[in-house]
Amino acid sequence: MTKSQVPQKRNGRERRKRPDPCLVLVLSFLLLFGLIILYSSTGYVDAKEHPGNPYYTITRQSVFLLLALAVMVAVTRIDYHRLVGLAWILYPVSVLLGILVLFFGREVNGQKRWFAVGPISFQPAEFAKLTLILTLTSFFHRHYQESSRLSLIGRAVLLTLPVFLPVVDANLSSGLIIAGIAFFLTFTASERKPLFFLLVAAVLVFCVAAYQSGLLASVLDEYQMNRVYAWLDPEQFPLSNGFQVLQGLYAIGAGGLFGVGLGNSLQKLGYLPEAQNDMIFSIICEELGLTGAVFLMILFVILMWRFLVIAVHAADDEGMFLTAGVMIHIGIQVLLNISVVTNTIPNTGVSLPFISYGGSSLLFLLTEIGIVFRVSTEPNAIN
Amino acid sequence: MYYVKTLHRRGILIIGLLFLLAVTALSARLGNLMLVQSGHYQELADELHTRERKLKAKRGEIIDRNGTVLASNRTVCTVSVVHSQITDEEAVVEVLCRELGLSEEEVRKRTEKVTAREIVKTNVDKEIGDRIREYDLSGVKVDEDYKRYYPYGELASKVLGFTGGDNQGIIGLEVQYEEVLKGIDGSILTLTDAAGLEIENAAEYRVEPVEGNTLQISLDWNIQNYVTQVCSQMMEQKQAKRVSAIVMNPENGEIYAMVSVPEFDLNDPFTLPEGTTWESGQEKQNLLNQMWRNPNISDTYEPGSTFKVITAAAALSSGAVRLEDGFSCPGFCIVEDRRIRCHKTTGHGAESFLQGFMNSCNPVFIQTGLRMGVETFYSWFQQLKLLEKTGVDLPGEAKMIMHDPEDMGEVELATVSFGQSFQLTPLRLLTTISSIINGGHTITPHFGVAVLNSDETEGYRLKRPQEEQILEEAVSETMRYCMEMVVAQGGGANGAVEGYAVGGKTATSEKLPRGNGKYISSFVGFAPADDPQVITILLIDEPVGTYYGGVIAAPAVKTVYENILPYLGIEKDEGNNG
Repeated sequence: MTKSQVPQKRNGRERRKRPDPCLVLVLSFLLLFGLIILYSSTGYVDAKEHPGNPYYTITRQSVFLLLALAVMVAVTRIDYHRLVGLAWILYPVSVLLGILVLFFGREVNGQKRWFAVGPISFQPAEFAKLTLILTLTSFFHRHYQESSRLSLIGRAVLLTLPVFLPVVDANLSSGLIIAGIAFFLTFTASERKPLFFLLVAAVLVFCVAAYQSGLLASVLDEYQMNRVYAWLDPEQFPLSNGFQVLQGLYAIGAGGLFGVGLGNSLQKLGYLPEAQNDMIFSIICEELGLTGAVFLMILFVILMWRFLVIAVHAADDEGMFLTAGVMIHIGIQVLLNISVVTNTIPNTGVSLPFISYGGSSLLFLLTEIGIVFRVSTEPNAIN
Repeated sequence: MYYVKTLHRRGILIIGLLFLLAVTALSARLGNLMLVQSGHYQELADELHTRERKLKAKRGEIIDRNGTVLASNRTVCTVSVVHSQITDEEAVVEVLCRELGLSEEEVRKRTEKVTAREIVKTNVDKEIGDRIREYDLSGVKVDEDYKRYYPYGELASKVLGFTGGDNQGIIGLEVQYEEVLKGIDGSILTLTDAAGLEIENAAEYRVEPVEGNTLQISLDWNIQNYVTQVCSQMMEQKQAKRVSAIVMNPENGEIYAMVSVPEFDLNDPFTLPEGTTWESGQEKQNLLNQMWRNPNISDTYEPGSTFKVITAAAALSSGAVRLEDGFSCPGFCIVEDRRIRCHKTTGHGAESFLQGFMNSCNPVFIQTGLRMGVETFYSWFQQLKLLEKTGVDLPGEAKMIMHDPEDMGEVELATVSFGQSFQLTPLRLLTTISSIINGGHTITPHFGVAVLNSDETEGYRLKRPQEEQILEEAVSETMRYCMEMVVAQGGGANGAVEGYAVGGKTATSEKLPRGNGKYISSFVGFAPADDPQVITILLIDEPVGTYYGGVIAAPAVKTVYENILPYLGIEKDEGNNG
């Protein structure tokens, strides 16, 4: 037993800590805010598409939310070490599902991302994110002593690739999130931190150079390049690739400092595609203005801060890695979503955690939150 | 179970800081979009969100010199459907089919279309529109609209013109005064959703339409009506192809009447006369254009003897002849190798210029023309503005077709002298003759007199070009005398009106090709002869039977004058017994 090992003196008598009240508060606020803005975004279109029922979407989302909350509570009752222990089963299942969906998935907008069983549909990519967090936690736990070795990074990459490749093939943005989770978790686990900064700098330089030299245009498909052009100047492509982001910018621009008022968005009246999903942030901007948008971003910052505190004060390395993984996952998704909506990066479909419409996303997010709650209440945590 | 090491904490802290940094950067970007560029996107978004619905402006009326309304508006309805508001589609389809006389297929195509508002039929009679409104079907909209209406149907059809589906002028004064009459369309700006549906309770931005101005024209309903009757009778009596007439004030160019029978129904301008057949759409359009054509201004013809007024005025002005100069007419005249006949083949014998004018003797005018020569004669065409359009305020005026002076030999000069071998419009001829008898100044024939506000107040008078003296007063007086003599003792005797001194000139022009027995008989007459207040030209196109202008056209003008001279308040000259 090395000195960094936590003394094994666990018995049932020790009292669990209370769940982090700040996290509970912020999370409740986010979920409630999400429901309100989702209703505002969908009520009008729902009333048209489901005559007389403006509550169609919001009803479904509420049911999903209740289910997901139940799952979250259930997860808090499971020892997270046992979940990490399941990684060796979940990992191959996730890889398999990722490959199978490419062949047998339901096609939506030309890409197979979904499994559909009756009314329930499920995205393996969502599952893969959770699996990856568990798998890498398990991996870094087993190689706790090798944090200074370069080979740790290499093996983490090898471990991530089978999950990453099928997902990125079906869904670029989910692939990015998975890569991000792996990158930052490895960054956390490894002592060779400067290396990671070098890597990021190299990738950025390469991308710019590839674009400038025309190499990017020759490697990427035409439709992918068109997205890049539309990103650089969406007003040149108002009816094709620039359409969605431009409609989003209209909404954002209309918001001003205080917005047009809750419920008064015009862009949600069928103009903005995916107003209830990937583009919901622009409706928030339009209705609640810069004030509302920044307020929501502050909520996410507080959420991240709680994750950070919980991770840093976790009882052991597994709890720390799990919480850091959840933090990284949600953080990347929030940043990607807002960046897309504000046309800061090229358009790629990412939903806004806790706010966007979607059952499976909510289910996995709250499962992760459940794990974090479990970590935060673990006794024997240092400090 | 391992402890969380500092290296882990440092990593997580860095991730947290990176997140904070990124959020801050995105907030700044958001602030830029929402505050700095807000106006730009707001503008683009407004364009996207608003739909404009036109509010048609009521077209201005056209009234005659006494205020009689010649062109007005009638309320009609536009029936449209809004798909999303229809509750009982079957009932809607059934009612619209029955009331509008449309096929079920046509109506269904409209009701099934998912748009903001689909027009089913325009220009529906108000009664039908009211009836449809009474069914109170949800999703069916009946909007009131205006359609041009001409209370007198055929009256002055080729002058007034008519309007098309958008109430825009198509021919005649309706085109010429489009800007005056059309008004300014209003609009309703409403917020709509992406499918174009109006958003309930959203603020509407409404711009009221501005009614068009009223156009007052010089036409006199009574004179127009009477002249039309006379022309119609004449057409029937002479089985003519067409009878046209213009009644004008020779002092200022105000046109009191412009007739060309057969006229057409302005309220139904796209229907050809019964019995007309056509094979293609193009052919039908040509026939319609023919029917709408105003020959008084658009068709040129060989004037014949009425042109002798101009030859005489030019010759007297240039000093080529004097009234008492002696001529001799053997019944023909040889010019170069051509023998040109007089209408009196036995000849008029010895006669003065005045007598030659009264007899309408061709040899006299041939010699007069030859005395002037091409250069002098042609310069008088220019002086008398014959080569220019009259500038009448109607679209489609034709120009005179005259020989090039370089190509004019003696034969051409001779024939032009008595009104053959070239063509001009009746209005051009009438306008120049007016200048010759009105003291010698130019006039611009016109209809438009004043533009009034829609409530017929204020407004402004329409201006015409400055008058120009183009002939000596003395020559003008002589010409009035000559023409008075034509009616008093010469070939225009049938144009004499009891109690009035009338001046005039007759003409009988053989249509081309010569020898086909088709003529245009005409008469130009003015009254009173010493102070002309009204001048008239009347043309009978292809009369059957007697075709001499002095025999059939002059009496028609006489009939007109018997009626309108007293109407115009021109006092009888007790010493004159016609």
